[in-house]
Amino acid sequence: MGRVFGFRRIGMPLALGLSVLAIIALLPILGLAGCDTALRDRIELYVNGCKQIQSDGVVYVDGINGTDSNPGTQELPKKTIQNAIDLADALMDLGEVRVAQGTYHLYKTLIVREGISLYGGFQASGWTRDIETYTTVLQGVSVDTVIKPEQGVTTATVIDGFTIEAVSVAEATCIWCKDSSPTIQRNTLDASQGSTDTIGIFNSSSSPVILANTINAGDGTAAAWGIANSGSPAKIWSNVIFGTGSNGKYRGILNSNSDAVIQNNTIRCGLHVDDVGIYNSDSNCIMENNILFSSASSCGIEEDGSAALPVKVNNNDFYGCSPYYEYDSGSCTTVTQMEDYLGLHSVEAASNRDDNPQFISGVDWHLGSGSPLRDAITDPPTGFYRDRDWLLRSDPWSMGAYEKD
Amino acid sequence: MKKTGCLILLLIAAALPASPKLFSPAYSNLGHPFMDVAVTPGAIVPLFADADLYTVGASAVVTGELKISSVPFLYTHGEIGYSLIPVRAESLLSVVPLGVGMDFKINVLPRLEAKAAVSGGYYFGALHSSPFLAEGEAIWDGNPYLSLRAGSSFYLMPTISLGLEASYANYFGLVHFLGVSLVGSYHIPIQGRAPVEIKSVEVDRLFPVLYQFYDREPPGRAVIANTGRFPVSGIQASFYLDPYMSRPTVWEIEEALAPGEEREIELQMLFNDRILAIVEEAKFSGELVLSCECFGQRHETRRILPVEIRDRNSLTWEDDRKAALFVSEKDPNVLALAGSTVATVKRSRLRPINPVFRMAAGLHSALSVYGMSYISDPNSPYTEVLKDGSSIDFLKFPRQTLSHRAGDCDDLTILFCALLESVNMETAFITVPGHIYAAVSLGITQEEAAKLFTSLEDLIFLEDKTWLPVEVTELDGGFLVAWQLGAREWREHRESGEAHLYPVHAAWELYPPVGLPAGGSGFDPPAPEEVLGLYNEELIAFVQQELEPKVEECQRRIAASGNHPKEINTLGVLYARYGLFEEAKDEFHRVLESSEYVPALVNLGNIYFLEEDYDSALLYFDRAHAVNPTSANVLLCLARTHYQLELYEKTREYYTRLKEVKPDLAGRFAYLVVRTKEEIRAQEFVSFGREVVWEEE
Repeated sequence: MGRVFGFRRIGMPLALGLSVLAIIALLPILGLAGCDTALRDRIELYVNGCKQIQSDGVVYVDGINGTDSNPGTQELPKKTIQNAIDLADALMDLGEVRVAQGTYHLYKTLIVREGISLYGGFQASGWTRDIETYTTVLQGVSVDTVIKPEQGVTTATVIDGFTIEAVSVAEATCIWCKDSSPTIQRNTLDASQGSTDTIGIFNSSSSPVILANTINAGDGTAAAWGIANSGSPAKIWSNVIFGTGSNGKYRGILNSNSDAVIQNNTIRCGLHVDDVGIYNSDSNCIMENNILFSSASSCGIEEDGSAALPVKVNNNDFYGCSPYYEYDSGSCTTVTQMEDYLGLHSVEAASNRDDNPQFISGVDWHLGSGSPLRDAITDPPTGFYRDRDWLLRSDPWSMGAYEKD
Repeated sequence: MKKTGCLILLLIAAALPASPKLFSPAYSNLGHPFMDVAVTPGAIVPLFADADLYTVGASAVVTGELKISSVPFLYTHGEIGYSLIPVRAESLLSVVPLGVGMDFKINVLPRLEAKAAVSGGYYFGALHSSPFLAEGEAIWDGNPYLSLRAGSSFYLMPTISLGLEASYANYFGLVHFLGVSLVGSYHIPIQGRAPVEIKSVEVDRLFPVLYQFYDREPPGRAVIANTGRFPVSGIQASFYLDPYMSRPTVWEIEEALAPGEEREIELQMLFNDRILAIVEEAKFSGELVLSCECFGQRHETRRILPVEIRDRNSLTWEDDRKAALFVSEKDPNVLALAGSTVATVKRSRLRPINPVFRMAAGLHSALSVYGMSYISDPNSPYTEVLKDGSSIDFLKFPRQTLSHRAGDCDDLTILFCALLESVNMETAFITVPGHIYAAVSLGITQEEAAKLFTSLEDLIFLEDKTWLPVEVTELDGGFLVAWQLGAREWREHRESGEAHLYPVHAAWELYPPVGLPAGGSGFDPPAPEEVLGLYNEELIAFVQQELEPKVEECQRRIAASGNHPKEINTLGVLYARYGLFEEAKDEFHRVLESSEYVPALVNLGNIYFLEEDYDSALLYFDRAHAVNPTSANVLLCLARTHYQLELYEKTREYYTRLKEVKPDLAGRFAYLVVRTKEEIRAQEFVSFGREVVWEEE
């Protein structure tokens, strides 16, 4: 036997094989191979995180304390919102991304996925929500568009509770919906840092719900639009819309081939006579219960061509606008003129007024206690029931974005 | 769990050397290595807690295996694999193991291979395609691993097999799982390599004179081994040595050879008589061809072998009986000398004892007259080569000895035996330390010998045979001296057990005689007159030496009995036995003057019978038969005489009656009534060596 097992007879392959196997056999005994690898630790972390996320339906983001290698749980939140959105999208059909307070610099446009709603305004520790106290700011950096929902997003996908700031680029858009129809609510959108085109929300071939947002259209030299709809029958409810430019390029809401529903919004019509509160082109909109005001004789509603005749123009307040309503061959500078004109064209137009809204102040457009627009709507619209402050409206409703002061 | 894995590994390592079957000598040397490449795609199932992290995955391992040539059934291998394991976090885990290991493979059926393997090495694992990671990002790590596999494969053809395998693998610190895999293997063929190989060959030094002996006792051996991975059958071997074989000697090896098995086979060789033409030692090239069947295909391997052949006269003395090889009784020169001597002996008036005795004397005389002389072989004297049985002696064929007219003791013994055997007389070799000489069977019992010879100690009695020893090297002193010398040498060494007698016929059964293939013509026998003269001198001396005291004793008894026929008949028989027929006739006639004494009638008939005067013989046998019709001896004499007269009806009649009276005696003379070719041929000798039964009371 010794002869058979002599090293020379066995040869190097056998000796080498036995040696390696002996070493491997000893490793667990010595504990060297018995410990979990860092890879396994990470896998366990993710598997547990995955279970938690799928159970809660939520991925958490904390731009300060989180890291993107975290699983995205409350205890171990993600750092970046996009990473969290993609994770939630991979793990769930319907879920949320909750974003803690803080300013999030977005170097890429944030892509919102269908079914994954985005909520801001959370406390970093404890994850209680108060969007006023725990402000979540999404600030674009060198990007034209801060948020862009992916195509196919429906109103089940919500963007809620953020301050969305477009920064100093030529064409600055806070949210751009293209072939997507999210619900955009309770956000503060500020496109004022842009230069050429400054747009709060741009909808293209989309049907979003835009509810209770404050939109600063900025002062773009070519275009300063609060909400621009192109082929997009958006629902625009309880929003505060204004611009800061005085070069006549401002449009509070611009509809092009878009049969939008515009109800209970407070819209500053501009700071220049060429500015317009609601501009319609090839659009048959419903405009009700809105407050359209101006301190610079800007136009309330402009009808660009007969194809842009509205469907309804009811209960709107035109304060300081001049004209109230403008069309191709003329303009209406009184409520009566406007309703007569629209009536001639079979447009439902009634109960419009030009009362002073009696805002709380020049920068606070809540209705003062003596405002004639308070509780002025006895036949409230359907489809929404909250004002800009996310308060439930009570019947009778007040006109404009705010139910009360 | 980890400890359990280690324990399994250690048990496997301990079990390998513990199996005596595996390392038995027959399997210890397996020759060339095998090389295999295997691919094992399969499914893997994480075990225990790992099932909470991973789901069923897939794996594939590519293995390169190398047979360890010196250890049966054991392979070493290197492997690289890839496992893709889904992680229960919408992620994927890829593992690439890189390791070495050992396989234990055995064919449980000819085409079915069972396998167990152990591997170890280092793995690299990477988590990727994970929503928890950025796009394109991966996290990797590494650690040792251990895997155990067992399964079986079926060989579709010698180079390709398919099978199933179960496995356990522990990627330490990451995952451990069970697996089930398909196994596809490619067994790399080695060009020009047959599954059966000739490991070693050994061919004895060949002696031409033994060429017929080699038919039964192969002079070579080879160790063959199945170095392939499958059993082989239909193993056929052939050996060819041109021109000393008419065609290759082919033989079958019946039992199949298992993988790794070694077997020693004998190399069979059927030579022709050309080998006897070799007069100088030389080396030749023989070819051994081995073929076998494996997977329905025949494979062949060849080996050229150097074969050393000695000259035709060489021989070693491990066995003294080998001398019988040279006793070529049918050599033309031997037959010529023997025939000439027979004729001479028959011409002699003297006919003592029996024909064998007389032929031995006649041949001895013939050799003396021929000028044969004893000369010790200067190169290899028998005395010296006997000290070392493997030393080579130079022995002459009878023809060569006759041609040289000289030889040493073995040459002369061989010649003398050949001469006697050529006339159907049984001979033997007698060996004493350092010497060999001849003996001839007289064809009589010890009892009969006692009546013929005064000194029985000059004869050798073994197994109911009476042997007459003849020291054939003594040619000058005459036959009687050679006899006496031979008898003395036997007596001197018999007590110490150093004297041995080997009957040539028995030796021939092992070592059949070999004759030189051609030649032999032109032999000139010695002058018959000279031979006859010397022969007669020898016999007369013998008769005088043996007969005179016996005659005196008989005459004393006749006188004492008052000329009783019985005593006179005894004297007649004494003369007759020594060939003094005239003196014998006188005594028998002297008896018949007074009465029809049957023994005298029979003995007188015998004398005429021996003188071939069958009519006279018949006359006396008839007279005896008239007196005693139931005498078996008389009936036999009548049958034989009628036979000689070619009166076969009468022969049959008397033979039938003899058969009734004495069946055993009739059986000895069956040729009288059954005449086959062989018996007729035998009769030709009987006519010379015929015997008669001298009748005495």
